[in-house]
Amino acid sequence: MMDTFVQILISGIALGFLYALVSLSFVVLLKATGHFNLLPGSFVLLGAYALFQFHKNFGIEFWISLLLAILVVTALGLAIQYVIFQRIERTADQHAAGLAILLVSIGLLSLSQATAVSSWGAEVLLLGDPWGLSTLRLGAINIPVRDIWVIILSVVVLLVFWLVIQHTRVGVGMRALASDSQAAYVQGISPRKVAPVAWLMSAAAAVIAGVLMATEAGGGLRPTLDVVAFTALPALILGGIRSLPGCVAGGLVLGVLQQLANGYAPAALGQQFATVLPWIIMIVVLLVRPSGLFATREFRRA
Amino acid sequence: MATVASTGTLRTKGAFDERIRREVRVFQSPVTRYGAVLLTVLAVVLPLSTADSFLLSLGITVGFFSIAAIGLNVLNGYAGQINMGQPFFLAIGAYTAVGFGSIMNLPLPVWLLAVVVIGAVSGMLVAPLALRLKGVYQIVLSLGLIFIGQYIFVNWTDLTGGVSGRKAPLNLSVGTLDFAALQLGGMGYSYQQGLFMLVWLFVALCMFLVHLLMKSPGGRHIVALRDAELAARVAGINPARSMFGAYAISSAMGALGGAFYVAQLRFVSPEQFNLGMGLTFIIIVTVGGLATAWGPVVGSLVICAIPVLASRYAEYIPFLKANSSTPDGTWGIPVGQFPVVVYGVLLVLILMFEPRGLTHLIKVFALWATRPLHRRSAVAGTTEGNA
Repeated sequence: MMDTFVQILISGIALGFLYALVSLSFVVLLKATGHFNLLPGSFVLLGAYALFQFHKNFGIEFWISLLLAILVVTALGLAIQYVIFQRIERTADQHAAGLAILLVSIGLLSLSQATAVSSWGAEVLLLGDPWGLSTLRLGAINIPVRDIWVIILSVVVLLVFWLVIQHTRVGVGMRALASDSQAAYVQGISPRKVAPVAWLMSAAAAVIAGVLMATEAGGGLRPTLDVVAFTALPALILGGIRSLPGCVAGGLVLGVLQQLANGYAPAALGQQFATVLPWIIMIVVLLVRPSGLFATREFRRA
Repeated sequence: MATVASTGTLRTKGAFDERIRREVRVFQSPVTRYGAVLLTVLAVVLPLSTADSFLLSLGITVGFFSIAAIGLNVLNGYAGQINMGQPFFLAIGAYTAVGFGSIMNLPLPVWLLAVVVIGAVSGMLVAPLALRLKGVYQIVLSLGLIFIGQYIFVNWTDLTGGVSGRKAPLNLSVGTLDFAALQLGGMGYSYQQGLFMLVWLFVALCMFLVHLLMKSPGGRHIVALRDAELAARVAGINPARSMFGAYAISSAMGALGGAFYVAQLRFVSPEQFNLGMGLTFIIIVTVGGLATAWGPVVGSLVICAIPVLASRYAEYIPFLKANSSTPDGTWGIPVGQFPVVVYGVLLVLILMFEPRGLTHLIKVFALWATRPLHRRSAVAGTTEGNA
């Protein structure tokens, strides 16, 4: 009884870290571009497929493929930023630009899905990850090795992000631009220098999350991964959208609750209850505290 | 046109009469006036003159997508809110129609009324929550609606038949007139012909209604709130009341679209009202042209016609290959994915180069094509003025 609980808890934490990574990708992108968009969904999808291409089709080492996939997706993101987003920002006013960029990202999302299906087919592929379905036995508890790696990788990524944002020049510039872009310009912080780093961070978080979701234990590589990425959106809201620790906390809370519901929810609650639980929690939170559970004081719903 | 007098005292009385009159005119030009009449006639004549089920079913699909998109356009276009959850309201309308029109087998006017009322009420229930939020929060909330709607309808098995869906033949009779087996002048018409007529009459009705509404004070309040909320509030507009109305109209029309969706397929499953459909609606209203009367219809026509035409004429389009689940070594776009590519490209191009949408492009093209006519009428106009 206790053993199953611990197992569920660990898988919940792993799921929570995945949510945290994806919502982090959304947050960093929101800060870098100033507009909310759904591109992390396509990053998750294309990153996983890029890794498949490098690792399985070109036979490159898994970890090197992962790095290559991150670089490819970053390049793609920067191309989108310079070719499409900046054009829209130049021509439209602030409110219209926000809507237009969101809509463009929806278009790009359809395109990336079509690209994946056209190039790699619609059926589930095996990524060939080093973990497979192997499990680690600790007494009576079975922990999938993949879950352990999810936790390790996520913690490493989060630590790196935290160090970059808090303790480097670029990170300070990023925070300055996010809090007051006009003042940041005046201080000589160039968005041109900050943007590539932000896109790299967003792409890295999304690609790593995507690859981990596409592992054999995660259900395999499939063209619907971008929709899976959207299930991280409640974590984003729960964490109050701007704060990095908020994302992690929101992700962990939802991941654990979802897995607990998966394991223990009575049948009377109906099918798909665990899937919809994060969205229900999100709506309750929006009703009670629209600024998220971990929002700072001066936060406004923007 | 009368202008502000230059005699020192500012006399504005009557100065803007002509402008206001032109602004409130229902049809801005003869083209749209006769176009609307022609289309309404076509809605009745076209189904009577053809029995091609391919054309008819495409027409019906465009019709119900148009109705729901006209509703969404009120919210996303005129009101400037962001709602990606239109499938939620389609699902509500669809299942209301199933309950009243199929299970209880009530006549058409009764279940249509129920669909509209329940749709509007559901929109007004969502509105207070959505209106408190802005930007990202509103978007994510509307996505959440889709997932929660699916959960509710999958588990409400008595009504919906669960995941596998249910057959739902709707009662399409009004008194002695039965649109399911129409009898006109001794001629019998098929289910699809009757439904086509019904759906397009409602498209015309919804278009006209929204068009008129946007010229009424209520509609102008909504647009004012979108463009300058603070100024609108200072001018005494109640934001909550105006936006409530926008939500109610949007969701009622969404529900109506959903009801006709069931009438077309005569089958319904909760899986149909998914995230993909929400994205399709966003694409329809944007590609067609946000905040335009014709936008949703033009958008639906383009977006619904592409997949059907692509699968019919696949062999003439380069880079297309048959649907197959296994990669066969050749790179090509599967037929099923072709429309997705077109949607994506269309959306990106429209937003980059012509955010006013296809409607505007058509208008520009029509003006260019009829240039000689305009020149002549302009000349006629000036001579008249001189005389």
